[in-house]
Amino acid sequence: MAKALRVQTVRYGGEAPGLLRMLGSVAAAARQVQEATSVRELTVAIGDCGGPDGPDAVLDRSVVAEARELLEKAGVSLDYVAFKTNTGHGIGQNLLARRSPGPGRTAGDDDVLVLANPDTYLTPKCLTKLVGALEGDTAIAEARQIPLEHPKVFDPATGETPWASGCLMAMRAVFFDSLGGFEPAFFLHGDDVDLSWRTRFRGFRVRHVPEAAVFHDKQLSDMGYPVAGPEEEYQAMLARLLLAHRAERHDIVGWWLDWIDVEGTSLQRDAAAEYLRRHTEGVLPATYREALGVSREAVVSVTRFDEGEYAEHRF
Amino acid sequence: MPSTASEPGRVASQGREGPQRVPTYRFAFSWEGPYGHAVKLVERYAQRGVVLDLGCGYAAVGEVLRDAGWEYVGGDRDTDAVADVVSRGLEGHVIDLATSEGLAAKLADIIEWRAVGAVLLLDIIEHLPDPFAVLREIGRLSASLAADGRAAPVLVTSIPNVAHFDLAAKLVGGRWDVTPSGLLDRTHLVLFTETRIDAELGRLGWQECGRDDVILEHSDQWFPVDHPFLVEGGPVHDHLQSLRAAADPNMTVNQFVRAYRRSPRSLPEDRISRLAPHEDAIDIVPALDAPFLSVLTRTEGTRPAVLTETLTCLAAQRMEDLEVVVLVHGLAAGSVESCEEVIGSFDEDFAARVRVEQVRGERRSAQLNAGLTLARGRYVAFLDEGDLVTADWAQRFAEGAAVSPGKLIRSLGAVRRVREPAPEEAAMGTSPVTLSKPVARSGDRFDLFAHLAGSPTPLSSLSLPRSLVSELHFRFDERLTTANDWDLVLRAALLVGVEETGQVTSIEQQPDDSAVLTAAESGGFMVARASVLAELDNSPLLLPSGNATALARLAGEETLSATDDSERVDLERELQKTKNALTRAKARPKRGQLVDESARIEGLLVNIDELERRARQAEKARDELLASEFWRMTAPLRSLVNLLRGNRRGAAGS
Repeated sequence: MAKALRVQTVRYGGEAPGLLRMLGSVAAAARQVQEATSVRELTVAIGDCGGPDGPDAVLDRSVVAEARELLEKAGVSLDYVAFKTNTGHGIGQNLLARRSPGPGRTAGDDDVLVLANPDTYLTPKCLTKLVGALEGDTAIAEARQIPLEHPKVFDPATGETPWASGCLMAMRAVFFDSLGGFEPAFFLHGDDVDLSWRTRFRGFRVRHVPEAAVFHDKQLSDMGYPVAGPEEEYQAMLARLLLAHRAERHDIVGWWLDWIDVEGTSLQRDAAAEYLRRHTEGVLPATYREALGVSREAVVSVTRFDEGEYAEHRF
Repeated sequence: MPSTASEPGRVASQGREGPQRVPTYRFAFSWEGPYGHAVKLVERYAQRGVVLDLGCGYAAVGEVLRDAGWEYVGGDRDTDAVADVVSRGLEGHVIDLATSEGLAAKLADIIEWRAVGAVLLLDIIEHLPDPFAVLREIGRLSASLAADGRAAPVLVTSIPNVAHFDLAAKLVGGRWDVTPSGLLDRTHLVLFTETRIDAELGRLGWQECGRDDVILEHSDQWFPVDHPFLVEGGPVHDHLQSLRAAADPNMTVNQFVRAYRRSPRSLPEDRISRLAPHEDAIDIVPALDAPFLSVLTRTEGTRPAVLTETLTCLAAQRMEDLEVVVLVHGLAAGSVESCEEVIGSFDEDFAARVRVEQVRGERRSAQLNAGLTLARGRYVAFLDEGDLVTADWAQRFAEGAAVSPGKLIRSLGAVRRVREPAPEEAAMGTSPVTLSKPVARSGDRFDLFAHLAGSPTPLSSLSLPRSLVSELHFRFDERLTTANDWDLVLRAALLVGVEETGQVTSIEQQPDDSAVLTAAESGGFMVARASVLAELDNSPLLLPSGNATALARLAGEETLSATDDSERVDLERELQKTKNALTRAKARPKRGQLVDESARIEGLLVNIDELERRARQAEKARDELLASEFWRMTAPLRSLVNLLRGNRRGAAGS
């Protein structure tokens, strides 16, 4: 029975009102968790990377105070830390997780860690549903995004899915620790896929929880796709290459590099160049077989690529 | 004094229609005029006793009331008029309404112990420098009578309507014709519309209990009769008239003849005396706490998870200056409580901006109309339970309204297929299952003619200026069983125009088992469309700028296209661009694309077909022009122009 729940988010830029809205939704969801589950200790952790104006462009003190007041009214404590550097998503989350459970407290086996993007808004029952889904061999529970739903596959009966989006996912804190957190080679994208795959290598399951809906702030193109910003475009392509590398899918790496050569944007070319630099300098992350000692068959089984992407899509 | 009142020197005819025979008076009295209407109101609403006629002049109503059994008491500052009144055997007093101080006491002295049935102010207050001071004194008199245990009198007024259509139409054309008498009598000091009368009398504690307005199709301001805005059957006149008819029912009211009683909740006498003499009570500025946007969300109250997701999208809006009105139209027990529970589960800041209202009416249009009356925002948007929006949905509306305040704001909408859960699953909190990616379903630009032809814009991608509701009483047409949205959008676009945001901000979820036909293709829609068009045919149609050429093209005037050679070039360029995009899309490898290439290619092909058709039309028109008699005849002129151009170029280059 989970006793403590910690929601972690890593901030880089973004307007304060948006973050306060997100925290307001966490506070409302926390009330529901307290009513419906055994969780009694709730914390929100914010890792502040500053923003485009530099790592010092952190939240104003008054905003932090407002956030603290807002959360405390719902019985949630705030753990705010200014990193003074742009750590990226994965490292930021790892740093925050190391600060848990906090001074004078002992982590419980069932304590829940929720990783959330700051540009989200949680439905009131979202956390309750995610906590409820962490049972048996389910190690990670992923929320359903609205208004743009992620197209990757999941089993309609069990919710089982190849990977969980870092937009909003819940897992047992001790499990996150035992995995060593996110792989630092990923900066913004792909770290969630990598974490999910490593979870599945251990024989645990990743579940999509449709009834746990979360709003994710995405712009919609006139073709109905999310509009990616420049950083996202670069990081998403680098992540594809790194994931294919870790899975030793040299065919996929080669295919993407060829595609970038013909069709890629300048940002995607930059991502390819960065990948090749790391390759040349020998600083690419270890493959799954090297890092985890898993078999080739296990790698093939867990790291399913489809149409070059790291999961089959429903639409 | 309006032209419909008694006029000095005239003798009224003997014949009349009305409950009593009217003798020949020195001044005209007509049952059809304001005096006759006022007498009827006295008969209907006043208790027996004195009728105090303030500003009575020569007491046109004196004998009529006396003969009907009323105790007539006239008052005027004109001593000759008062003497005349007295000489006719009526009670008359010299009373100057221009100096209202102590008026209540003076009137009380005149009345003494008698009961007062009515106080008349007929075509007089517009002549007073401070009519509100007089009204305040009459209120004070009424209060003192009530304090004495006597019945409070009815107040009967006749006030000229400064917003009569004739006058208003001419004012649009810049004319303001002051006349010796009539609606714009040169001695009028204060002007009134119904709104102002209601506000001022209401402020002073008078509540309307009856009305018998004088209606004149053509007022004394109906001149010159050939003024372009007064030409009956002319598009401008008819359009102005149809707009005015929508705004209020008073365009042909010449005089507001109304009866009032003191409101049971009237201000105490001391408060009345403290009211500023010219305090402007008319609410012409929106309430300060009104939000920019009112969002109307219809729900049956039986799908809490679906409502939660729609509300979540609203809670996540970057622009927070909005209110949400959840319109519960379901009859299921506990539906309102269920919605309130959902709202109560959100964070307090957002929940404070949401309210639940139960609305009646089986039809969606009736429910939305009920919502329109509840909305307080400058703009109104519609987001049914189940529809989802991006975080910039409201912000885009606000940006559009900042650029073009008062216009209809239009974003783009997308649709995606979902599988709805069974009702019992929905009640337990199961959400629809998404089956497809969202695809934009409305064109980039609002095309009025395409819209007339039936092309819809999803309601969730629109924001309606509430001024259309407050000023012109805009409503969904509840007579229509379908096409209500299309009708409303069309009428709004024709009146105030459309400001485009160009952004896809809303996603409509279409059940997978819904009919394949789009709404615009269904038989019901076609019938409704014909009915709407017939309704529009009753009034002139006002088209936004830039539609003359489009109309001519629709009428088959193809040569117009030819004269616009640059457009043809643009079309060809666009065509080439689209073809190139198609080639690129086809050439892309099958693997690795996040996009659904087949949908994209299909879209591009549709674009190409349309562009090719338009390019062919332009080409054909150009060829026709080149082959025309006109082109041949103007050849020397063109040569001359070319020669001059060439010379200029040569000169510049040397």
